[in-house]
Amino acid sequence: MDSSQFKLSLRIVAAVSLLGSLLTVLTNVWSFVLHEIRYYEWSTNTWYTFYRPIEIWSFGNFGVFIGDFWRLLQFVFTLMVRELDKFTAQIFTPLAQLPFLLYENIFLLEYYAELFTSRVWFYPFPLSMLLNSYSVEYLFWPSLWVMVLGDLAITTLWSFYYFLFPLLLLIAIVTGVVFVLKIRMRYLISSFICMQTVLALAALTEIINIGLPSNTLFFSSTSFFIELLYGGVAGAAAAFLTSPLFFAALICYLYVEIGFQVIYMDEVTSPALERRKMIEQQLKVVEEIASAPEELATGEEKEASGRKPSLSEEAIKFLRNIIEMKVFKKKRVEKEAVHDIRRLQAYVEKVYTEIPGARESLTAAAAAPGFGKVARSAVVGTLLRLGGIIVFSFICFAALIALRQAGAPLSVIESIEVSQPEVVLILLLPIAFSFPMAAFIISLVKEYGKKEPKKKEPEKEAGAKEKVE
Amino acid sequence: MLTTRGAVVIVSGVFCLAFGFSSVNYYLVLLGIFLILGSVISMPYFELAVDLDNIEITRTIDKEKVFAEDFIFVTVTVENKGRLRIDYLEVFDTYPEIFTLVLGKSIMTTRLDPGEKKVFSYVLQCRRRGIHKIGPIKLVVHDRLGLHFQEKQFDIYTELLIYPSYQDIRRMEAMGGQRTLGRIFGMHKTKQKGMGTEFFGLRDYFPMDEFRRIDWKATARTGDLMIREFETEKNIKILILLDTSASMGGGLPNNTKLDYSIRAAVLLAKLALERRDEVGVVAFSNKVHSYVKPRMGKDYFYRILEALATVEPRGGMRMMEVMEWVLKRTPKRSFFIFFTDLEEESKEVIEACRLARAHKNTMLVISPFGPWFEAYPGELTPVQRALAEAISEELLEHRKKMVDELVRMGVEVIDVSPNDFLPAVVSQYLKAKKKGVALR
Repeated sequence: MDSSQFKLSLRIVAAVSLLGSLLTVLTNVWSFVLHEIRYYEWSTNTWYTFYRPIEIWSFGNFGVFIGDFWRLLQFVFTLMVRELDKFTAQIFTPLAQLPFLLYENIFLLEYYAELFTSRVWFYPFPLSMLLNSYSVEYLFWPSLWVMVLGDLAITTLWSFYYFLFPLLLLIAIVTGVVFVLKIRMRYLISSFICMQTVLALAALTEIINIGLPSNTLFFSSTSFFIELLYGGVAGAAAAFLTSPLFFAALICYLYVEIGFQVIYMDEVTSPALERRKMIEQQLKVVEEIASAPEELATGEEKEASGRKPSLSEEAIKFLRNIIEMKVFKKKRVEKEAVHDIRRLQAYVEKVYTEIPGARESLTAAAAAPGFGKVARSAVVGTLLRLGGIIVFSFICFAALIALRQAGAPLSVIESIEVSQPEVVLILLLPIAFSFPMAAFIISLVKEYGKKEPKKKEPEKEAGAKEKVE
Repeated sequence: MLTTRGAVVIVSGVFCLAFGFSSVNYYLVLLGIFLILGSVISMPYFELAVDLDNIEITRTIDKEKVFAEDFIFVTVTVENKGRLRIDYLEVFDTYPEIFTLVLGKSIMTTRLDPGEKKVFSYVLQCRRRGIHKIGPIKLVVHDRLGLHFQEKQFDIYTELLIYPSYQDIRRMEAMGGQRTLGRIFGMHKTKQKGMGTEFFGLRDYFPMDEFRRIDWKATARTGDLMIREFETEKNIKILILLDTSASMGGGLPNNTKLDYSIRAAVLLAKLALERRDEVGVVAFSNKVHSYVKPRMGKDYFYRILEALATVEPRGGMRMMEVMEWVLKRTPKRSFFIFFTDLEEESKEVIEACRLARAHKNTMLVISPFGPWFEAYPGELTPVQRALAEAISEELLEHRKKMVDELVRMGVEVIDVSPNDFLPAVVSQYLKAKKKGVALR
């Protein structure tokens, strides 16, 4: 298998894992994006409910979002304008006193002044009227205020989700495709995060009861939870491994795992191949430049040798010229580069003949590991890792069984907290921390093992010397 | 240790867990567990498999002494002496910034099986003379997924002695080969008939002349016996005095007064040694940094190069002390070629030159004039230009007094600029040979 075939097979593996992950997300999210429609049929005197997909690609929902956004903007403006009006009133009130100073007995002016400074006159000020559709007074009514904001927040969030859903999905697909083509870490991570955010946002929107249905794929696997609560280890394990919940999470995780493995295989094999290509290109360029005809440098030499300043009164004039002169002229630099390249070519040829294996080491041909070896170890490694992850995940999920086995009191086992997802932390944290701890212990043991032979080294050396003597 | 990639995976796992908990979404909880466990599960194996002390690294270079601007072939060998495979190994060989990587890469990414050895090499070029060290080598080992890493620096250094550039000599040799030396430098070799090998002329035969010197062609042409005469080749002792005080460091990078002086000294040494003159060198500032007694022979050239390779501009100048030290070790009637910018204390320099003259030495001062070397390659503002001119005028005044004094005591002073430095030095040497200076 050559490098291009290997790269193609890496891309195929990456594409398959991406497709699997995307399908998992889409099939599970689909129920989230179903729009519940209920209508009352007068003729039959009954309520009908049906689901139809939200028209996520139409501008209708975008329009709803924009409308809500505009309303939110108006609300902010109203608040701002109210403050502005207050400020304006503070300025105009003293101004309104001026007529009293001038014409104290003129009632008519007093009347206008009072009118000018009154709230009635001020609050529906034209600026407020222009910028918002709400009356300013209306905002002082707390219940309405909350109602407007609450309604706005909920509808905005809802619209925001429907707006983000296609956007995130689009980013996930595009970055996923770019990952398949370029095999780069950042694209893998961004596509994965976008895919999972689609699900996370769906879950988040459900918290605030926007009206998303809850009977999705994830929550339909009740048998697993029943097994966890009342069954044994074997039953719970079987239910866990066969649950759609497990498959969905596993496929999405596999996308990351396989993605990383693909990146590894690419990173280990590509640099050596790229290096070889690069050096071959460099040598080709060197050869091309070296074989090009050279311009003779006698003209420049003559010019250089011809200049000879003297320490006379003319020296200052010369000095002025030399200060402004550009020392390194472009042509000279280019010429020197060509000269260097010629020497380099001659040197490389000499090295190739004098040092055995110089060509191979320069291209680092041996640095590229065999494709088969890398692929085999990657498959074995992935399977082992996956096995471990699945086992430990089940242990974390089956915390209730562990608690029961450990003889935890009934008050704990039958408590409402045990049925909450946070219960996984009871075992997840110790298990997750045990791996770095084990690594730390291994490193300590290794350090300890290294210290021992160091003491014997001088003796060994001394012994060796004696033998030589 | 966790890599950025590993941290991203853990953060993503925590993010999924948090969202899962808050939205009672078991899918996100399970995915979070997968991600967290996935990022830590291989930690113990990684720690067990990777032992950087089991990796043996060696670096070799094709030559330890090179001329500046020459190329160096560096080969790095990495061997896994451990019993477990290293999945992802990155080797970074570092070199000082003054080196330029001209071919290949100083980095290798690979996988090492137990007992396996991998080799990579690259070509460096160094434009700066001196003693330089290549190294250290940095090793980074990742796990297969790039979630954890270990790194270690191997303090493996390879010392390189970089001689001053040989380019000027190559150029000169190329031109000399074409018999264009005279045309370039405007001067031919000294002509003094004698026992040399260079042809001087023809004359009539006299009894007692050696028969082997009869030019038969000329005899046939003229009808009388004609004898070929050759130049006398008398060698002179040349001592190159190189001022390495801080002021000699003035100028553009790699083109300072000292750099030019060294180039000229190398060229001069090569030229003189090829003509069987005895050449020595003394580099000094406030003390003698290196001294090579005048000697003859082509191999002696490398001793001079080594002396010049490590010279750096630093300190002030104690000319008198140095001259006394040098005169004790150098034979009389030598030809002293003194490279100095004459920016130091004039009295001491004059006294030192007087002392050298008193020992019957011939003295030539080659003086790079500071402002000509420090010319700014770009446009100068009017203020900068005015300042530069003012400084230059003051310097000129100082030098003029000094030069007048030196000339009075029979010391020739040559002012040189970057444009005419090398031709001027070669020309002065040839002129001196023609004159027959420092002959015993």
